[in-house]
Amino acid sequence: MNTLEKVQKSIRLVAVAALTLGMVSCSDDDNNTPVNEEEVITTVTVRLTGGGQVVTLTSRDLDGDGPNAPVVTASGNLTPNTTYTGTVSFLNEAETPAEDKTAEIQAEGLEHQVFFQPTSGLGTFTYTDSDSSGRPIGLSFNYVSGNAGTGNLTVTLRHMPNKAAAGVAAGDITNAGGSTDVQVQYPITIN
Amino acid sequence: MSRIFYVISLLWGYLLFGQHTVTGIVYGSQQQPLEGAHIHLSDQSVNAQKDGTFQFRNVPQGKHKVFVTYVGYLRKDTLIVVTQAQDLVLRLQKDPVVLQEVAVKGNPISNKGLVVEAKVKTVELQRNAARSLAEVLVEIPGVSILRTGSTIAKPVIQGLHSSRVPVVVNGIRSEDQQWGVDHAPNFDSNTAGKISVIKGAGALQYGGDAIGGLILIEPHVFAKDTLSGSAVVSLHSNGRGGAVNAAIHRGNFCDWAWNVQTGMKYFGDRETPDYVLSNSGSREYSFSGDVKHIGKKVVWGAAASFYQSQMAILTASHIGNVTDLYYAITSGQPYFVGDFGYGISNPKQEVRHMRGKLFLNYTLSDSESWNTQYEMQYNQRFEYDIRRGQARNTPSLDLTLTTHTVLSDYKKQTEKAVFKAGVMGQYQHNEASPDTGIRPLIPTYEKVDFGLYGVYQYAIAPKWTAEAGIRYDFSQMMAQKFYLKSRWNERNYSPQFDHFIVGDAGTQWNTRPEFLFHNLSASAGIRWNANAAWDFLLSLGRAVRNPNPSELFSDGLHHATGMIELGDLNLKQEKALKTALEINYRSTPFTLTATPYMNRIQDFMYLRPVGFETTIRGAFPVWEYQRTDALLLGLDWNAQVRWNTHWSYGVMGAMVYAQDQTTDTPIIDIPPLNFTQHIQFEYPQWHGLTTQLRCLWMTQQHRYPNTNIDASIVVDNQLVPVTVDVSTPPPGYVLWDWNAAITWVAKNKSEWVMGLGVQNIGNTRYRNYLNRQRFFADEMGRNIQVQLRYNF
Repeated sequence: MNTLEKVQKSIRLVAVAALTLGMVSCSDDDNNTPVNEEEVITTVTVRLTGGGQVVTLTSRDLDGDGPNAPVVTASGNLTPNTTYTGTVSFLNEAETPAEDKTAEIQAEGLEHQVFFQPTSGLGTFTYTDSDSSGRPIGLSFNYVSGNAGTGNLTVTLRHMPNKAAAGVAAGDITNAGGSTDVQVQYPITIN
Repeated sequence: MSRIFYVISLLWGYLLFGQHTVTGIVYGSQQQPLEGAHIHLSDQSVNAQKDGTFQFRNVPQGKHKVFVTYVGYLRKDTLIVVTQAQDLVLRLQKDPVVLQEVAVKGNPISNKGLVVEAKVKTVELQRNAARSLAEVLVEIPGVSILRTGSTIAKPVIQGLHSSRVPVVVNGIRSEDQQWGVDHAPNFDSNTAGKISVIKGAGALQYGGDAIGGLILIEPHVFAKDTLSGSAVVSLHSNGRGGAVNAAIHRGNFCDWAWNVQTGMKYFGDRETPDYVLSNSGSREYSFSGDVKHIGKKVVWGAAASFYQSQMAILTASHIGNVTDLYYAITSGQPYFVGDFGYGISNPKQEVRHMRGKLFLNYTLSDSESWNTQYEMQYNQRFEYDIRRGQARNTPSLDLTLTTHTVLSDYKKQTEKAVFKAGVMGQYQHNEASPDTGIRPLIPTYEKVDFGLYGVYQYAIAPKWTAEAGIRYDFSQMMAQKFYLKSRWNERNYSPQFDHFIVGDAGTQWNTRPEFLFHNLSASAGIRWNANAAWDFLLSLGRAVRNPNPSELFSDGLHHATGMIELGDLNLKQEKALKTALEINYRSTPFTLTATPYMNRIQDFMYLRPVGFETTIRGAFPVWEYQRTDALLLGLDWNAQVRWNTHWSYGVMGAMVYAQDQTTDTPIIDIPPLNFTQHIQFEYPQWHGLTTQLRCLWMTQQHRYPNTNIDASIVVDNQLVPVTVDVSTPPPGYVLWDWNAAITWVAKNKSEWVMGLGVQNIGNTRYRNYLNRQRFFADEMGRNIQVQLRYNF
């Protein structure tokens, strides 16, 4: 221990001693488990079933707000001009076992809506579910694919959107407001 | 012209009202006459003769405020009603706490001190009873407000705020998470006796790290050995709420003195000229009390206070990512506007601040005193967000900060010099609860501080007083934090900080970062009282501030701004060298105070945009705490013309030039050039009528860095590259305010004061550059305010 360290130590000792007089108990230092981020969504999966095939699009971001970008995968290519029935699910895979957040979103359907935005010409989405006031949530839907081509599909989950605003119930996000809980982009290929 | 006006009004006064002579005598506590005691009667003043007597001639009939000051004695205030010649006997109580220098003519030590300081007038404090501390402080030139919506307000002194502007309450710094730009000071301005702002250097007694300045709050001190008090009700139309306050003060009676105060503020949603700001209500409760025993040599006592507030945050300001921000900015109005309501829902903030204090003042001799205090502060902060499922009612941020402080100060005052020295010891524990389900913005930590200072003031020549001071601070911080391993690598903390790692928790490192700081700060000042009209104060100071917990440890998404904010363990102390010159001119009818200053800050810590990170919520701009060298140049001024006893005019204003010297770009969030003018009419004979028309002119800030975000946004179902303009300041604006007050004095000398005011008379639509919610909504529209005060 050098002199500087000794000085530091004694200063600290004096300060602590001076304070002990009126000190109320200090809380325990037992923070040895990391925060359980139970709300986080790490994985968004879109399942499209039609034309005798199942195509799964997945976006997985295991470090949440951390610096690593989500890993986006598609299980296969889509067939042109085909009707697919689709579902979207939300998982928290940071927990073991993974927790399914889809039911929670379904239960709070009035406050949530999923929006699907494909590159122009790659098809159209129509909602097939509804919340208690008869407006869509977007957890299940139909997708009619367009002509052959490549592009992106953007899937957005909005919390507290204004579902009554113009175009929102039909799937237009422009006037939806609210805050974005999920926004992922899948590259898709139709051939 | 004004002279003629003055003569006419005097003549008029003489004709209408009789004139009388008021005589009297001033005694000390042992019945000795106090030669040289200073007696003020309305706007006249005289000094007591050798036998303690004094005389005022030509005193107009009516009510007059009289106060008497004498060094070492408590100031005595009283109100007299002059209907005939009067003889007064004024007895002063010895001041057991010779803390404040009292003005006495002939004392070679300047009574004005050697810090660049400005006080909030009592009348402003009282008028703004329903407002926050920051809103009261803007009455001082050079102070602006940094807002988060219409409820959360922080004071900005000469361009700087938060950790750079400590708030000192009754001698001890308020420890209430002030690093956060959206964390308002946890203090009810109604509990203050006196509020002042120290703009220059030289506040070493309170700390060596006041880079921007310091807010000093002192308690009520009542000289009178009687019971006094007040009750106030203020009602505001905007927010459809108001405030109630009550206070009782007992001056020294049988060696005991005490004060009790309590207050409550309650507001619903505020409104702009066009729409309701949904979820912008607020609640505040405060209580404070103190009791002291005043002995011959020893004064001791205890004080306690409690403050609680609940502040709603505009629903429409809750955004998820840059797309949301883009839509908010382009649509020009909030995405959610509901009906007016009093309810407060998420997002919101809830804070509680408690203080408990013991103090002991010991008068060692006529010239020496020693003052020791211990205080415990307990601060709890909960921030609630809009969340899903079971987390709905769980706070997103849950911090408990406990601070123990011991101070001991010694003061020796002789005829020509004042010497002050003291020590400070502090232990602090911050608990960031892991039960929030969100990784906390700042970690759990323990901190130990120790400080030592000495200040010497000396009257070097008849009109010259000089001061020099030095302070040493030691600070040690031990934190506990989990870092995502991916973040640890991205920050390049390995291998430099690998010794902080104490455990492996899967995807995260369990770390125990430790920091140690030794700081040396200093100040010097010189005052020249050139003549009765002019005096000058030059002050020079070096302040050193340690990085705060958010600058060191932030590592996540900040929901209110849609940005990822990253701290840096490599940050070092920032060091400021501030020079300020205070110029005072006083004459009839003109007074002026102007304060040019220069603040050079080395290793200035600030948030800088560095790129993008993509998460499952979309792409986010990343802002990182970096160091630079900053230069702030500015000027504050306050000028007044008093044409006659009835009419006066004033203009105050402030300008700041702030430049990042490394990148040679302007610094963000600097208040633009602004002016506040007022014209005031007083007519004491009409129940002390005072009325004022004010005009605030806020220009547009043209000096700002470009922090615009280039992002790809889905517009009409297409990904379109856009620029999200978050840097352009809103246009300037002009606001008109009016207020008036009248007083009725009852026979028993109690008084009723009735006040009326209108703010933003024109119901002007505007946005404020220093409001962090300026992207989402307009500022508040017109407000009508009624206030009734009872003083006894």
